[in-house]
Amino acid sequence: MKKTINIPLGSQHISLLEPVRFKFECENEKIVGVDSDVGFVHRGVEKACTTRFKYDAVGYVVARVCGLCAITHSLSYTVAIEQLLDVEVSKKAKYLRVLLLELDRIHSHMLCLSHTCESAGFEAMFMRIMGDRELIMEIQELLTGNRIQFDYISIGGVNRDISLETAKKIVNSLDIVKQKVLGYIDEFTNNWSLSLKFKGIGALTLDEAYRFNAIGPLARASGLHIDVRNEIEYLPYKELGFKMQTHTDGDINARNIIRLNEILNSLEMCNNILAGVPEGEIVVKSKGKPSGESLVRFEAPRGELMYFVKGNATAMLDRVRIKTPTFSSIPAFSHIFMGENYADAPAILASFDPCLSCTAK
Amino acid sequence: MFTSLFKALTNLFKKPQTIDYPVTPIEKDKDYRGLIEYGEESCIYCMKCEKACPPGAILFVKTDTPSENEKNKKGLKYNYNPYLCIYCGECVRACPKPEEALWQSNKKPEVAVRGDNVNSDWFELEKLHKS
Amino acid sequence: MIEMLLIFLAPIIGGFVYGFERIVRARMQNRQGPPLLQPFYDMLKLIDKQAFIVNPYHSILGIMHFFTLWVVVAFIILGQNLLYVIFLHLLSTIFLILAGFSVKSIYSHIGSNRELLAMIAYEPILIMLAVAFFMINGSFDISAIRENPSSIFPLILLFLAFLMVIPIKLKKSPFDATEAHQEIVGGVEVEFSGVFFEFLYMAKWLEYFFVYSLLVLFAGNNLIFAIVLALFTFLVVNLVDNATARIKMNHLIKIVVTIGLTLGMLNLIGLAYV
Repeated sequence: MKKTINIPLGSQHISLLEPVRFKFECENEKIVGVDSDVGFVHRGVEKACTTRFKYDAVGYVVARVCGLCAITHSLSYTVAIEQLLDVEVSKKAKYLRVLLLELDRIHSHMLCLSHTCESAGFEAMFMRIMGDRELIMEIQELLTGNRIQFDYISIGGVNRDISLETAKKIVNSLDIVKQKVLGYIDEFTNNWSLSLKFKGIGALTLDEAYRFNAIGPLARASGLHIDVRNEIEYLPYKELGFKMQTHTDGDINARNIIRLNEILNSLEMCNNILAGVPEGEIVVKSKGKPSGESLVRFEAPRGELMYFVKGNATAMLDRVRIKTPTFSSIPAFSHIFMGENYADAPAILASFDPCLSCTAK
Repeated sequence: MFTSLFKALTNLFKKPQTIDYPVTPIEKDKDYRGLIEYGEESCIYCMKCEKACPPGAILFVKTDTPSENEKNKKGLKYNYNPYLCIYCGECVRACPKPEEALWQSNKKPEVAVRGDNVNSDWFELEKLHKS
Repeated sequence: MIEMLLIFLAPIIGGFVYGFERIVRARMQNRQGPPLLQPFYDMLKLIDKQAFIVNPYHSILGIMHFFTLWVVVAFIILGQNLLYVIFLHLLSTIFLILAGFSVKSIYSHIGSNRELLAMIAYEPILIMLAVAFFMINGSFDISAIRENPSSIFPLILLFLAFLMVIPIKLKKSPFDATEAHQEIVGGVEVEFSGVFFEFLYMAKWLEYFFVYSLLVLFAGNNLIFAIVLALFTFLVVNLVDNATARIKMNHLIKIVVTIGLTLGMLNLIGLAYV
């Protein structure tokens, strides 16, 4: 008679945003073995970029790999092509690019926090955070014309300019969001039922984070000091006031606190940008066709995103390779689940913030 | 826990944040990315919009009843598919006369389901365009 | 005569209470909420769907769970013996647990397991409630309890213990681990489909009736106090539901047994010697 039972957190489940399959071997609801399968959303984006679309349209194609980090994909590809074509982007375009990147990070972190609360059974907090996220979506609609897929970045700069009254409206909305985020920090640390659910569960120690190559907020919550924004030169992060946030516990509570602190830091950076947008033109014309190889890295909301682009001086590219952050974190996921209770598995999975559309392009 | 409790109590007496859409209509901003509109009299038939469109939603196809425009030397007609369009605005940026011949309005597109077969004419046009 | 009418309409009254509660819960979360008759629209839709019978014992046990609960509500309205009512309610929960174990689905088994553990936690409190009413009123009959004046002050500690049992029965946070729809996809309810799920859904409405009828026994023959008590409990249960997360089964049993059982014991000892 078998001593263990197999519980599937199957490809279709109420608590999952996107399809992924885990098979847990449990003894009486305690997990002893994990088997995982990703790849349910494979669409063949990398092949399509080299056969069906020309190099100036590929920027719109890769933005549709993921819904939440769409602008980071689009920006990485465009910067890789600009390095191959030797185009120098103006300072105003760089500032506007950073503004949208940070707004995207804020709304993605809010979605992850509300989903973690919902998987823990606290639906009222889920509705509250989603309701406040609407303020950010309205700002994005004012700036770019759409709520999620921005289509804002093209080769040489950005597509739209920002006027003074739009900037004033955005600053007012960001102040309201900041007060609400301070309220969330208070609630996440002091609610007794959330402490029972989040503290001490799903922990990843510093040694394991280093061994399993964790990136993004997952690694920073365990104490590893890595962040791509600290290491790149082509966006002016240091002069806009970027500060890296770390924590030492490594459990679900630590990841939530890190995300909340990152939202506060991003709000500060957006306010700094809107206080002094430099003058200049928003787009610079580019000539020629791309040839050679280039590699760029950026910080998506979930970790490090890498693009490798190879061109051969024609309109169609030779190779586009995308390495997404969730794909690198899968070994760390499978390790954390061992020894935990099955009742915590949806909450742990939601706290990693998996984006399966990015993983199985 | 008591802040959440207090907030839940006060929410009972406030208006809900949700809107009763589509019973109550929503006003879109004037910069919202909506349908592309065409002014035939100012078009110079340079075909830059067709080359610039990423999904190929604008097609110029030979037709038997061409327009009276003197620049229309090959007898072409402009066709636009709002269901393929991604509303990025590349065609407007590529056009030499952006406000008179091609511009982006703020109207939302119509909704269709698969059973309506809205693209069957478009597939015919694509075959004509290739030949 | 009026009692017969009330028994016959009990599911419909329970449905209205359930629909009203959904609107209150939505307003507390700053949204609009469904229309008041939503449970009945759900019933019409479920009858249309394809009913899939896994094995005959499973469906029959599900239907028996609903009818036993209806008999429990009928006995409360007619004013029968309180101890008998509590044990009959235990029987209806056992039917549900057996239905959960009779299929081969893993989520059903875990749900039945959790339901059994929760039953161990709250049954002693209900039995102590019946014993306490006997010690004050001299008989187990509900009709006798309803004719005596209100006994809330000598039984205040048991009232607090009963308030802890209400979220478990009505499947609300923080104690709704038995039907945790984000973790075990509904627990026992996952294998029921079509019109058989409708019986489980109507059983949920009858649970509301059962719990609130037990609650107004604390008010005795004072009708206004009964209504005030019911409204106050309704508001408090919904407020706590919107302010806490769902806690795990081992914490649930620890909290309910240490706090609820000790309060009940203290109250009984106090009644015996004072």
